Amino acid sequence: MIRALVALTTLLLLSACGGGGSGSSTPASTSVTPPTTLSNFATVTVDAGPPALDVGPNAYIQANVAYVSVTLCAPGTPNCQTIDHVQVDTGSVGLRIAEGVLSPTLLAALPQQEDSAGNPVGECYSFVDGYVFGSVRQADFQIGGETVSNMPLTVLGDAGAFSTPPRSCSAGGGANLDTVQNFGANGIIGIGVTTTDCGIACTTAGGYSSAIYYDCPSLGCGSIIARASSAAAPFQQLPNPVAAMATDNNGSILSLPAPPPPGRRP
Amino acid sequence: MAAGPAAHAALGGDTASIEADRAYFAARSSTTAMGGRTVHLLTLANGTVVREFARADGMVFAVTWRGPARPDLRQLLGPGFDVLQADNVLAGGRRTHRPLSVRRADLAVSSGGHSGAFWGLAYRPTLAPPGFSLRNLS
Repeated sequence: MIRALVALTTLLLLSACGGGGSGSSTPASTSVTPPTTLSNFATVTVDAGPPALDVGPNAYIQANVAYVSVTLCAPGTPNCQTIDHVQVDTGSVGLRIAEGVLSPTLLAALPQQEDSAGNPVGECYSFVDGYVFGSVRQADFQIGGETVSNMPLTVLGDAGAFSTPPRSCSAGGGANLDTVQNFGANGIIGIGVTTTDCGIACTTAGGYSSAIYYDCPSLGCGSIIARASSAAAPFQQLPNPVAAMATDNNGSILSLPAPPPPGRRP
Repeated sequence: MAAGPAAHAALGGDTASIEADRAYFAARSSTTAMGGRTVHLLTLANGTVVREFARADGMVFAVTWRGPARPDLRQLLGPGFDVLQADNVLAGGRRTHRPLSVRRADLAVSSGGHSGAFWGLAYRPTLAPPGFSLRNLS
C-alpha cells in the first residue's frame, strides 16, 4: 500500500507564458528537469502528506494530492518561514495555512487585517466536504521566484475570537477542516479561475459566496461584513496568489510527468 | 423577518416552511406547477438557486441547490442536517475527503462541485409522490 505512494515530482509553472512542454519528457525516475529559461516555477510533490497526518488514532497517509512549499515573511522583514505540504488546488482561490504550522514568532508578526470598525477580520471558506475558519492576516508571500507583498491569507484555527466558527460558517455542512490532520495538508493554495476568493458577492454587508468575511471583536466573530474585491494592493478579500503577482500573473500550468510504461510503477 | 431555523424545515415541511425559507434566505421566489407537484424556485442574493419540490398537499419531499455557496443546510434540511453530519464523518471524527452524501431509505443526499460552484440535492423517497423519479429533480 505504501509503495503506491512513491513520490512523484513535477512542476507548477506560475505563468501562462508557455514552454512547459519541454519539461514533460521524463525519465523513468520521477523528477522533472525544469526548463532552464523559466524562473517562475515551483516543484510539486505527490507523497504521503505532512507527518502530522500519520499520528494518533486517526492516522492516515495521503494519496493523490499535489503539494508545494511556500514562503511567508512578516511584511518588510526577514522574519520568514517556508511551509511545505501546501496543497495545490485549482478549484478554490486564496492561500490558507493551518495555525499550528506557523512558528509562534512569525504568527505574532503577521498583522491582522482590520475592518472599518477597527476589529480583526475573520474568514470562513467552504470546500466540497466541509469548511475552514480563521483570521485574515497579511504576509509577504513567495513562491517559485515570485513575490506578493502584504498578501492576505487566512490562518486556519487561529485562537481567541477565531476559536469557534460562527453558526453561519458551519451551516453549509461537512467537517471543520481547521487542523492539519483534518485538512490533509499544512495549508492550501487556491489558484482557481477567479482573481479574488469571493468577488462581488462579498462587496455588500451580509453578502457571501464560498467565502464569508466577519467582523471579529474580542468576544467572537459576528456580523458578515463587506470586503472589496481586488487582486492588487491594497487587498481586502484573499486574492488568487497568481493574479496578485506583479508579473507572470495571467495563469498557471500544472505540468505532470508522462505516465510510466504499462505495468511499471513510477 | 428572518428568524432562526424554522421549526418545520423545508424538507418534510409544509407550504409555510417554504415561505419561512424564502424569508430566511431573503430570496426572490417563483412557483411552477408541474404534473401533480409544485416547484418553488428561490434565488438568493449571491445567485444560489434553491428548488423545493412539493406534493399536491404542499409537503416538501425534495430540495436542490446550485450556486457559489452551499445554502444554510440546517435551515433547508431541518432534522436531515444532523443525519448529513453524522453520515459524513469516519470513525474518530475524521473527514471523509469526499463530497457530502447520505444513503438511507428515508433520506438521500448527493452533492458536489468545488469552492465557488456547489450543487446538491436532498430527497425523502418515502414522501415522494407515486411515480416520481430523481430525473425529475431538474
